[in-house]
Parts: sequence; structure tokens; C-alpha cells
Amino acid sequence: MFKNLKLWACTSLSALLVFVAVGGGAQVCCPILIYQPEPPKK
Amino acid sequence: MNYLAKRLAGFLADNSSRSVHTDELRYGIEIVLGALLQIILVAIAAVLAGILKETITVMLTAFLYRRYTGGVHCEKYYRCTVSTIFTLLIIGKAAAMFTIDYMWVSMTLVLLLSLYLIFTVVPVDNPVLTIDDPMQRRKMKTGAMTVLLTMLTVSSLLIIKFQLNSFGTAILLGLFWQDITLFRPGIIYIHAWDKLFGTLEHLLERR
Repeated sequence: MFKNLKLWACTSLSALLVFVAVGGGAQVCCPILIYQPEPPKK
Repeated sequence: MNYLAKRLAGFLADNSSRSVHTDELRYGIEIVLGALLQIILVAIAAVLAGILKETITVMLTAFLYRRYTGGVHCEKYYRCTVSTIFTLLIIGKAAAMFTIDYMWVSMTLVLLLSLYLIFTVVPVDNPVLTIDDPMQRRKMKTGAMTVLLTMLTVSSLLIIKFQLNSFGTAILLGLFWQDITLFRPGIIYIHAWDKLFGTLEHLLERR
């Protein structure tokens, strides 16, 4: 039960964070931060 | 922040049912966690200074506008955090203290400066992440223009109709601050922070 929940939570969170990274509009710069993290390697 | 993001990305990738690109995850975590931590720190500092409403309004306005305009960046996360807190508190304090006597003049000046910058430099490229697609550049300009006009309308309504001067002023100052980060004065200001911290780091290393 806990294992399934952990799997579901990690998968959903990963999908959301990948969306932020590649499709969420962080292309130009980070909106709040005036710091740009190193972009992901293609 | 980078180390923490790498560790978290590794953990999430290992426990995910789909295969994910760990470096993309790391980047997403750095953006989300970095922004959350900064919002919390800015909010704490603003509460302590007694200017929470104004500072948050300035931050949200600059955030919305920066989403489309781009702007100058600091070299390291902690430098960005310290300079952001310092700058937003000063602007928040200014919004709380001053009432704009010549509101239409101030609004017109911000509008003209913003329009000039939108037509000439927006979106301001990031050295590590440039936008080459003309279509996307046009989209960013249109987005910046929409945010600018919406925020100016909201600001004037808040001041004229609801007499919420500090909120209206905070929006105006948020737009102005974000404009500054798009050209030379902002670049000089942010690089001065980078230089200051670079010197401090150098001194600490020598000790």
C-alpha cells in the first residue's frame, strides 16, 4: 500500500517537475529568481 | 540548491514508474524549490519590516511581467536571494511610504519606458538560454504588453476607485523595477551585487 502510494507520488511529482523544466515557460529566465540554474543537458 | 536538487531528482527518478530524464527533473526542482524558498524568505523579511502587502504586490507584479520580458541574472543562487530580498524590501517600503501625487505622470512615464523596452529589447535573452525563434519572441512581446496594460489598469483602479494607494503604487514600482532589469542600469546594479559577493568570497577564501 505504502509502496504504491510512494510510486504514485514520485511519478506524479516527476511529471510535474519535468513539465516545469521543459514545457512550463521557464525558457527565457526563471520568473521570480534573478538566478538561472544550469539548463538540463539535452 | 544544486546539490539538493540533484539528490532529490535522483530519488524521484529511482522511485518513479516512468523513465524520466534526471537532469530535467533537477532543473525543475531547482526552479520550483528555489522560487518557493525565496518567496518564503521575502515574506518573512517583509513581515518583520511590517510591509508584507506592499512587498508581495511588488514581487507578484515583477514576477508576472518578468515571465514575458526576461531580465538580468545573478551568477549564484544565494547572491540572487540576498539581492532580491534587499531590493524588494526597499521597493516595498517606498510603496508604503510614498503616495503618488502626480499619478498620471508616473503612470505615463512607466508606460512609455515599458513600451520602448518591449519594442526594442524584450525578450531579454539569458546568456545560457537564448530564444532564436522569431514566433516565440513575438509571443513574448505580446505577453509582456498584455501584462503591462492589465497591471496599469489594475493599478489605476486601485488608486482612483478604491483609494488603495499603497497597492497601486506597489504595482507601478514592480513594473518599474522589472523595466530596470531589462537594460544597462539594472545590469550594472545586479553585477555590482555579484562583484560584492565575489570580493567577499575571495576574502573568506584567503583567511
